[in-house]
Amino acid sequence: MSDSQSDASYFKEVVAEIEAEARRRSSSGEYPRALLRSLDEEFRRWVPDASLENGVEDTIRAIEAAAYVDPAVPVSSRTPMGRCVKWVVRRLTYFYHRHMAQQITALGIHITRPLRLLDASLKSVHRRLAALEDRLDVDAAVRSELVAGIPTFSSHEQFGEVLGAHFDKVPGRVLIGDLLEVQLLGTLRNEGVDIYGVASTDTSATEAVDVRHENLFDHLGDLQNESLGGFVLCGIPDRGSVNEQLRVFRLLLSKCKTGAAVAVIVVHPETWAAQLGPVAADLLHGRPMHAETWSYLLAREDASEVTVIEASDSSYCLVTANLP
Amino acid sequence: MKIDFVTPRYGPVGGAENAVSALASRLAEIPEWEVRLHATCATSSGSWVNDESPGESRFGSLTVNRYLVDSGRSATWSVLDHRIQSGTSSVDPVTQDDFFFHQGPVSKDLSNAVEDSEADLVFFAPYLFWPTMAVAPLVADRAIIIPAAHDEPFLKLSRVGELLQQSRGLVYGSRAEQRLLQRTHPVGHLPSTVLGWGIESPSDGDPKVLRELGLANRPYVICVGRIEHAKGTLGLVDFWRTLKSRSGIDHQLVLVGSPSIEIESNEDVIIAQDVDDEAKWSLLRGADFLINPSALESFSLVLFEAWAVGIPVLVNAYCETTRTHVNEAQGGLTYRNYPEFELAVQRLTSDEATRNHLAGNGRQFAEREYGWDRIIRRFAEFCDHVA
Repeated sequence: MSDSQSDASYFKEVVAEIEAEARRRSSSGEYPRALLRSLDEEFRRWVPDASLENGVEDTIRAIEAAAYVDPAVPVSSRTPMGRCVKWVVRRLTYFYHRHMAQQITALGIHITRPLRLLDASLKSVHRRLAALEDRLDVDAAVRSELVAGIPTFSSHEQFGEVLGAHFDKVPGRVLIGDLLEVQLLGTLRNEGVDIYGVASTDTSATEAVDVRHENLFDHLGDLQNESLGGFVLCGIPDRGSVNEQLRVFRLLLSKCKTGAAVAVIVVHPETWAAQLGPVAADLLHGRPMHAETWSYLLAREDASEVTVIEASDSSYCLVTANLP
Repeated sequence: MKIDFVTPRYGPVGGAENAVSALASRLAEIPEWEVRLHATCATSSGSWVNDESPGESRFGSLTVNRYLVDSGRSATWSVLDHRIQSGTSSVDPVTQDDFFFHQGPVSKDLSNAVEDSEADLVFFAPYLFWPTMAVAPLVADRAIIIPAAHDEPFLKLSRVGELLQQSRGLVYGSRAEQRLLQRTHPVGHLPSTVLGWGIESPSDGDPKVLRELGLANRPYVICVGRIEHAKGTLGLVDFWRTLKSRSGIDHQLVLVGSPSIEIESNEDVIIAQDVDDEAKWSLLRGADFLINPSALESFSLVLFEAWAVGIPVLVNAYCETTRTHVNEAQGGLTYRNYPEFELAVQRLTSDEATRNHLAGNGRQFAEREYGWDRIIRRFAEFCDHVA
């Protein structure tokens, strides 16, 4: 085990120990409920909603905690006399406070119940959706294992100049994603294209300028419609599921302005199958899509000048088009 | 390359202003670069009173121009502030403009100077103040915004969205900040970089402050930054007092910063205000570890300062920025509730080996990811890209 691996496992151990012991202490009733509630109130007051990774569940718990009313009024005081008086008042009015507290707590329970039902229903939908996705495609982990052998093609040498001319005078910035090959970005910038990249974090593009390190779908989800002058779609056509390819294509189209220029770089299915073997070809059927399929999809969007350019070794190709 | 920076204040003041000043100073040392920083004469963001003299000064290779503040905070500001904090979506643009005017610091001289500047790029930081909101649109084709933003109501204002969208580009402190801005406003396609911030080398410090605060022979933990609700300080004090009442730890909590809320200074919690840089480094060096309780951070330089002096950190796990720093560095621990806080503090106060281990990791991470050479290279590449 290397130093960095042993460091990482030591760190994980310490964190896991603390989290496990914190859970044990919380569930053992070691902390009075009222104490945790009052501490939590100020602590969570300034936590942004977006930071609550378990949002609905956490919010319901917070409502439940706040809905619990403790009828035992605190009696602490700076003087013994004050404490004594408060204690007497508490004893005399306890029946009243208890009655009120029970009603308020019951109200809280009734309020949180429908929220819990909604949460359960939402979770059930998510589970069914995940199951449906699994049936449509092999598991994402298996897929990434199967496609790990696909080499990254040096498309910048082959297509840099063509793409430079294709994106000349586009009506806005050009997005390239999912960026696997940082040289293409550099080549296109040298050709004068105003381009930025979107890359998953573990690529050679980590240090490249004007590259977003995030999931391409998340990035497109946050982008305003009609904000791009064009796009170069790569990576996903070779590695994504058919669903992902079509979804990202639709999303990219919606983000393009009128007159945008588009390009797709895709490995030929034959090359892909030859490199990955029969297992991947069987399990990942239907991808990568042929250049003809991309041309068909672009033509359906009324794109003009749909052109397919082969790489010199015919292992992959570039499909370009102009949107109406 | 000619670069201008615009910040409300210059000097050892707010986090973002400090970080930008440090960056500007480093850039000014590069022979081919001409760097100028525009700021007002104010040093206090509470009043924007003119504390410094207007005019040009040199700080090493950096030229700083200070301008008089025409108007600072008024009674109107707190009403508008409350209005926005209560719900941003219902605040019309005119009220928003009014808010930023009263938020200040308003300086017509600064505005004129920036408009007349011949810089290739003008960097504005942070987003929340008048010099950015009102002056950046005047030089929009050259304006790069350094938002230094966290998740807060002001960020959601439509005027902020307009400012960001019409700027030439954006510089972020962390990926978490970039994600937040892209989620809040449609700016994902604009030129941007995640730069991060560097820190100046820690000074030897001034050990006198430890004696003055009675800390010379007492173990303590430290929290550095504004002492206010939104920074999580009150929540931390509640946690700390509960911890002291439940366990036998001997440590004290030292809060370094200016308080905007009332917190009683006693045996358990010591408040050190009006602390200069030297004293701050001494206090950091003497602490066993640093706590940052804030869930609203765009970068958190103080974590890197702690690692630089060889102490680990404990941060609020609900803050994506600090949690990511800590997890990537493996330079400290996080907490998301009182039980985790209690256990993390107990571990860090009692286990010196773990403390040293985490601190060492943190220091390596800071040098590797946020060393000045790397920051300057990233910044220069970004400037070449957008200029």
